[in-house]
Amino acid sequence: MVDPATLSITVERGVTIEAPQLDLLLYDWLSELIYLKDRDRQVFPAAQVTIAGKGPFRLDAIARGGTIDAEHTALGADPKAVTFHQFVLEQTADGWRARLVIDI
Amino acid sequence: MRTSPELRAKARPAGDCVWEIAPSEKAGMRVPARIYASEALFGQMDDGVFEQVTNVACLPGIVRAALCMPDGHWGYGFPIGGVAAFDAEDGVISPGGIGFDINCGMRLIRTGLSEGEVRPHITELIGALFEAVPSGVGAKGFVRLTEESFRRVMVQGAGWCVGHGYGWPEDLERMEGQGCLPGADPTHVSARAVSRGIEQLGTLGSGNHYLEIQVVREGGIHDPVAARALGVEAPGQVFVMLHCGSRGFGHQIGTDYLRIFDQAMPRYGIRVNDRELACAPFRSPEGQAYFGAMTAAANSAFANRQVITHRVREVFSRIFGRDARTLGLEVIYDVCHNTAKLERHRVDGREMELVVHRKGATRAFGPGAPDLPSAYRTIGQPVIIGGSMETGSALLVGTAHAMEETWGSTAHGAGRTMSRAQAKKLVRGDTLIRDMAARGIVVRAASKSGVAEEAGFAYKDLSAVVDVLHRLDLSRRVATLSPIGNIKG
Repeated sequence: MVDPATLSITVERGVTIEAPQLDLLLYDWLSELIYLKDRDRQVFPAAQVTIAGKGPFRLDAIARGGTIDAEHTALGADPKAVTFHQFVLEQTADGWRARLVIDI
Repeated sequence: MRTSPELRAKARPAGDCVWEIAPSEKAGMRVPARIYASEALFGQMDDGVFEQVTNVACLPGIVRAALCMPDGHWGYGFPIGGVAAFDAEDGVISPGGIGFDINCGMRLIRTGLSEGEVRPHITELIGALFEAVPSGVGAKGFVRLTEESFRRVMVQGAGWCVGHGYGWPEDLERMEGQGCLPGADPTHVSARAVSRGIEQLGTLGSGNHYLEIQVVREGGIHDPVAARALGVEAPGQVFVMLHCGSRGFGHQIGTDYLRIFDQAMPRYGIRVNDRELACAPFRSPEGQAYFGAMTAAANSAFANRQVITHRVREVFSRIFGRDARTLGLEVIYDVCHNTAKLERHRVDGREMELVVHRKGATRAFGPGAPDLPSAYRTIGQPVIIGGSMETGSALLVGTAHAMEETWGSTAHGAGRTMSRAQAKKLVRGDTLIRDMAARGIVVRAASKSGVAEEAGFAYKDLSAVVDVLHRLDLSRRVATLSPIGNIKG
């Protein structure tokens, strides 16, 4: 979305999401970040995320970021949406592996 | 999803520039997949195109064939350049057949100005347009809407803008569906979509969206009679081309309903080969809700291009010191790329109501189609095909044959040959901007890396795409337009 080095980190935002499946929780979480970019002009390079439940699942996040400032923020691609194209979320021996394609 | 080359090998020639994959080649195909391409364009298509177009051929209610236009490339769900019609009674509607950028489309505006008059002002003109038409991530438009007025935009489309002083009444007849598609239902639009899009009317967006100043060169008018009817009069004449869509509003509606359909499919016993093709019966509550919301987004895209047209007229008027009417800034036409529409077409000798999905494809109705303005009725619907920002664009008209062959559809662009990431590895945005300036094309961009992504070498040769359309009589070549200034998101 933007070069994080050109963004002043001034916003801390709590986000809570619930979804029936773990992959949909990931889809909804990333969709939320894209939504906030358009609604509030805010982008979040960092977040602390906790996931709980065994279905439905719940995500609680504290996202840290800032407001896009056209004068100083170096803009990149404008994400439109999270797609289901080649969408994979799977548990591996090392943890979790996700593959996502964002439409830009 | 597989992207193996086996399906490409199963495509058989089925006439000049036509390739077909038979239903027997993949489990679940209900109809053949048909690809329109020369050998060279066929060879440039990603393997994913063949996987995707055959996946479309598996969807319930598809009629006759799943189609891919000569600019086809690997997309999400449908290939870009994909066209498919579904029986409105027992077929489906799929957000993956429309895309997130609902009614991303093209608008072409003529001017009465010559390149000789514009060239001395081109840097000032591009600078002023860049200020007047916000672009890039997080851009907000100048039109302030209440939620109630935004809902009227969803229903009235470009007509709302003209009613509020952003345009001329005669603009409306020169748009697909007069800039307002029937069936919009704001009650099926989420509050999130409203809050995401309500401040974006009049913004360009980013990616491959652009506002371009173009000129028709000597030798660029291929059909003088049709060109004159469309307002393309002589070499040296200047035009303005817009490529943009429904912005975050449409993106959110696509997101909302992809999620809803993903969960609804088991209720209807539908299985798809690719989750991005999530769909629901058109006549189901989910299908009707999506159609109402998607059409609302399509109408907001017409409104977006109308508001931008208003800004373009203001800027030209200021720079050239004459009002926009005197400068001849008339809309030639406005066409959608990403839509599903209810249309009546003949199938095996009888007329059927079909849900025609066009994903990165353009409607191309032939002469006599009732939706056309009287000035174009004898020549066919104008088709505006955008090329790369370096190489130019094409103006064509629809044909009677396209009505028979492709549900009145044609290509939408040159089609990418490489990913955005690959393009950025090959050229820097600021280098490309300097190179283009040296070739007489002035560029302003919200994102320099975005310019690199849109380099000419990242796209197929537009003339090769247009040649196939002309040879197959899917559209008829009218004029070629070359860029002299470009604004990119």
